Amino acid sequence: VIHEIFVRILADVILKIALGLIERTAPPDFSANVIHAIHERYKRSGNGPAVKSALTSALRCVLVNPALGFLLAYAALVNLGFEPINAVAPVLTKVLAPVTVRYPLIAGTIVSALVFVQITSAFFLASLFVRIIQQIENRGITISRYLGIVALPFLLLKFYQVLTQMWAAVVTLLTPAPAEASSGAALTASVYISLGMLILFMLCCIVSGVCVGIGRASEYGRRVADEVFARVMRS
Amino acid sequence: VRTSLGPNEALILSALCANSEASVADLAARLEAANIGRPVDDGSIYVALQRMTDRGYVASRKVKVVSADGRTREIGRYTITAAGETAVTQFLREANAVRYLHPIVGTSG
Repeated sequence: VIHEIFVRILADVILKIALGLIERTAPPDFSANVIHAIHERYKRSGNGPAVKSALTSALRCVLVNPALGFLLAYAALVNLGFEPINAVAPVLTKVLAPVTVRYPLIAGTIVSALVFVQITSAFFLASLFVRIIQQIENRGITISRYLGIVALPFLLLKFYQVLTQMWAAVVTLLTPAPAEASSGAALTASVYISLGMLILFMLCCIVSGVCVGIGRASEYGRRVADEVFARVMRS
Repeated sequence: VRTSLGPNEALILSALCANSEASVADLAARLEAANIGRPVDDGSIYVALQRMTDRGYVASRKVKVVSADGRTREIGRYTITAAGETAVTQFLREANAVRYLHPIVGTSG
């Protein structure tokens, strides 16, 4: 029974992610027709066939131009959104170091919250950017695929950087500290423990659907972009 | 410009022949009921319909519906055109020729 419940919850989460992907990357007509059909399929045949159809349709959205361009530009901008926090990270680490040693849980939570705010604002900016591109494309000017081509190397580089940083953190965590370790090394270890907690927190956010905030930020970004574009067109 | 139909397009047009008007969701239900032995996802149905609309095999109009998630969406309802009926008839003729010419299918069927 627990297995069944787990599978059902997992299927529903995957379905929501796939539907979100379709809604955010596909042209409005595609997303309206296909999302409606997927909901009907869910009612008719349950979550298994609905998830399969949603994933295949989402993949189609990602692979077919100009959605690929949108997605890559979106992802690239989200990655750019991480840059400011990377810049303040050393300062943040120094400020949080004493707290980290005494209260690693609180420090981890503070860093997690800051990064969450950072990601949310990055998604807001990304959505605003993507919506403006959509508005321009709706007027017959194709730019998204070129943006996608420009964004791809940045995106790959960023993934490589994130992976190497995470690997370094894991290695540090797994390396046993020598008995005569200085307080500085202990501090570094604590910071990495916080980093580990942060990664766990982020994974939990994604899996449990706490990224509703990201969705709201994206929606708000789209609305602001629509408003800005409408004003520009009126003036 | 390609004039012959692909398998998905022929299936969709056949499903449209039997009914006056259908949405992507209706067509997905009909294809599922027909038990064709492979899944046809909703995105593929939509893309095939758009392609056939461009080629003049299908006509569409927009209607507002409330989806299961409670949101109102503007979806298309599709009908087959005379050109579409001709195309599906041609496809059937070719399928029958395959059945006739194939050494195994031809003798058993």
